[in-house]
Amino acid sequence: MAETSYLPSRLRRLFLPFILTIAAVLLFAGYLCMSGLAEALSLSSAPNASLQSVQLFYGALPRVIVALAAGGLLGLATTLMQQGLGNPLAEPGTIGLLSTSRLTVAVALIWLPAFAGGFVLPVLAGSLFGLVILLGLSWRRKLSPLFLILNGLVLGLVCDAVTSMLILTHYEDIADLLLWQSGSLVQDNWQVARLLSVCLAAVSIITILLRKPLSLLDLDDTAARSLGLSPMMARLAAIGLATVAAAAVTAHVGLLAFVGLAGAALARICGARGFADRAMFSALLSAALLLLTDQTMQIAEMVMAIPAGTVTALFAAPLLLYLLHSGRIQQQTERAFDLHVPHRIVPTRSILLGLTAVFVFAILLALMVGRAPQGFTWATANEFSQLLPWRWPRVTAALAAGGMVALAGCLMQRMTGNHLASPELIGVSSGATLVMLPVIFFLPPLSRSQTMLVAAIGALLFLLIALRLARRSQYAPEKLLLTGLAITALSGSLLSSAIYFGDIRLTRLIGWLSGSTYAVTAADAMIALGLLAAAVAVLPLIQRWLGLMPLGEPVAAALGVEIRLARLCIIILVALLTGVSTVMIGPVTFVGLVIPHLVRLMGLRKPLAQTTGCVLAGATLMIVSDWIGRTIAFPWDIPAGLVASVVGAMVYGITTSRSSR
Amino acid sequence: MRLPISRRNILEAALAAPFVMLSGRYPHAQSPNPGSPQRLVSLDLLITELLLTLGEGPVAVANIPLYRRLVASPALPESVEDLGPLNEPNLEFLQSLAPTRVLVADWQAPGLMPLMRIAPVLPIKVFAGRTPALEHCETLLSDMAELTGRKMEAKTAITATNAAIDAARSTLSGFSRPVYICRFNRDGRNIALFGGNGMLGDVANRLNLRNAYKGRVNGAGVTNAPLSRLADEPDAVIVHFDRGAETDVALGRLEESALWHALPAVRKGRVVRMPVIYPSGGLRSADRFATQIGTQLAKFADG
Repeated sequence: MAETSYLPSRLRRLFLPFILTIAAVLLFAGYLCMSGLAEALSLSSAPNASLQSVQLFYGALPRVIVALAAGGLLGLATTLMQQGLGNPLAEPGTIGLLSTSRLTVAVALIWLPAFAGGFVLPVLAGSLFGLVILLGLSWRRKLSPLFLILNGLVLGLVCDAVTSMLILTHYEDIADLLLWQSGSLVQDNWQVARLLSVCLAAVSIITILLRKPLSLLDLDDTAARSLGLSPMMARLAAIGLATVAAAAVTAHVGLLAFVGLAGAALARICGARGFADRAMFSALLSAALLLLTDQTMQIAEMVMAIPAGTVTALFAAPLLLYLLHSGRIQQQTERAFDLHVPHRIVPTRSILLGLTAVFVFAILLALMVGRAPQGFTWATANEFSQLLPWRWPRVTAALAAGGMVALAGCLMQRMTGNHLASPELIGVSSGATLVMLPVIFFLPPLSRSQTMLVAAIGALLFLLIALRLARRSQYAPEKLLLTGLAITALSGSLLSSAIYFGDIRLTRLIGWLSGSTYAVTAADAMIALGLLAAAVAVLPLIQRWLGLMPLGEPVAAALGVEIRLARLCIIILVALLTGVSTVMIGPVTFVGLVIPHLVRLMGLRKPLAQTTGCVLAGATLMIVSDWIGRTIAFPWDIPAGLVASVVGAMVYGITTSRSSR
Repeated sequence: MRLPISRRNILEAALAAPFVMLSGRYPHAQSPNPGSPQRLVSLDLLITELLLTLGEGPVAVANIPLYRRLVASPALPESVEDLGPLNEPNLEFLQSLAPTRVLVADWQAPGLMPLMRIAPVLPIKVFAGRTPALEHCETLLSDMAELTGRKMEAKTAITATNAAIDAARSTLSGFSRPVYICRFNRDGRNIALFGGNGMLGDVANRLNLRNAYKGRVNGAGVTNAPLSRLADEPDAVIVHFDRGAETDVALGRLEESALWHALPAVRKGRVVRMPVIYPSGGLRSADRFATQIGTQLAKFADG
């Protein structure tokens, strides 16, 4: 899409950050007048003067600096990360380091309550630890971006699963974690402001010094190498720098979701192209966005304190959606990744047979073996009839949900050609989650079927919105993904506000978000199983689309695929599969995101083989996870979705290390 | 994670298991313990506290460690079984315990449909909503007394709490300052403020204390706020809860804070640290809170 610009383009691009900053400054002035802090500026000798001047000079002013510095750092970190990983959806959280630091904070809070180092040391330790693990895992693959992202995603999901478990079990000990992760910018001295400013200056200088080698990462590895660059070292520098910047912010003010990503996306939309340009504009835009958000919240604080981190997405996401759909976006050139997986000698059929055998074994195990206070027990014929009504709906639901989500993930990744695409990005799960919030906190308690109906309506509503937004661009994957990301961020933002304000009822929400088969009924399970069967029956009909679409739109269209129709059909299928499983047992991100990669690493690559393999592997993983969750910590039931992340990660680790030999 | 099972639990269960299995398809049809007419199970902290206040020990409750940490008094007998998570108690284990009735909070109920196949499930409205928390607790306690046939115990408990509140109010007759009831967060920049109709806010109202925080609170009567909120009422006394190591860390941080030292209450030494109370607790918790705050604030009685 060509842009017609009348002004010199860089000047024109400064327009948006400039407007945002002006708005924020006006808000700040308004706050000073309304709270009476402005009087402290004139050094009057009113009786309250000392308290007010302390509030102004140690509270309000450093808060402005912290917002600017933290926003700038996050914008830089995100651009660096996107450059290092070559994916426009990447951000500091993508490679899992924020999740590792969240986990270390939770662990420190629970087991070292007297530890006075605050959050800084745990966060730094967590980030460092995560980075070491990640680099160790990806080193043998020469830090190929795809493996960095995949390993990072797996690492992040596992850490998040463990953290959720800790929140569920130690709800009361962890109140500080909930506060920290909501990202409050409230200050009472200059220490954080000074530290973050120094950090911002240092990261900016290093980025400027390294801008040449970093820009070369836009090329593919062979081209970069022929220009005398070691892509591995450049990538390492970008990721390391991004990690340091993000960890500094996270350690001192908590998780500020979406700020960096919004800044980077807006910078692209506003026309920043080269790396240096993008870095500068994304830092400026992120800083302005965060300042605007925080100043608004500071004014709202007189009524109710809401930390900036929980609402940044509320400000940034609509802006992003608007710009995205006002037709000013430029086509992005996706770089295709080669998986470099050596061809295996094992034929497809034996792999599928092996998967089926494991699948059947898992079903038998889950139905027959249980745990009572005296230990593991085989169900005898007598007990079996009594225990079966408890067990079969759970097993069936786990099977259906695992199969559906893994299939949806596989379809989504094949359609978009992006390895980060997960079925949630269509907005269906976020929609269900969004309507679950008022249902749990404000409405009188509903029955399970009513709750499911409400969640289904939410999912449908958001699907319609996503389709409506995507229609104008012929359901183009890039827009669909960015739209999905914005909607997911919006729902995540409301979710973290709910967690921030919530009482003990939020444990039910977290339980639902963790993917639990606890409350499924026989009817739910049968419906889901029927839908899965129907979806599998459709697969042979769309296998040609699935085979051609990853090659990119021009190639697929040239070979006779009706792109628009194919995309619409696949989106609807994905939405159905994701929607039903989300409504039934909650979102199970890990299965949708990682199983397709796992199956491909096993050697199943043809469309039909990969999709079938995904259904089998996803179903097996969920059944086994549900069984483990039921027995491992008796009498504690651990949600299947959480166990699936941990078990899936282990399988993933084994598969990658074997296939890299 | 430590498994909350003792060797004794396992032995007891192992001894009981054959009988449970003998008892056929619907084990709750016959109670293995004929001494007690009711085999109640509670899945909510407030319900557990109220049951124990009535002297009606449940057979099993969910998440025993959480109860011991948050509520603590009345103490939970050692014989009570742990069912695991509040919202997802272990079903197969629960079935083997053969309860006659399961008491759950109403917000938990939609997720607990499978329990109905084991025993009747009674959802109880634990969040007070617009009613003041104490009044709501008294209603709940009377309802439960009806259920368990322990009306005398309920009456005694209600009278005792009211007496404790009356006593504390008379101790505080000379006290007229506004009060912040709060908990300091570890970061030394944010606090949790209690107020509104929640249990702590309601006890404060009954003591004729002026709550210095008048803003909105969540369903449990608490909200997060920045430290500077404590500057709104210069005359106030700050009452904060002692959560052990966490509070030590927070106070360490506050010592370095310019804003903290600029607060009038801090400069004049009007800061009170008191043992923690479960903010959504029942009558016993209210009783303890009233007595504590009465004794502590009496020191500032002459205004």
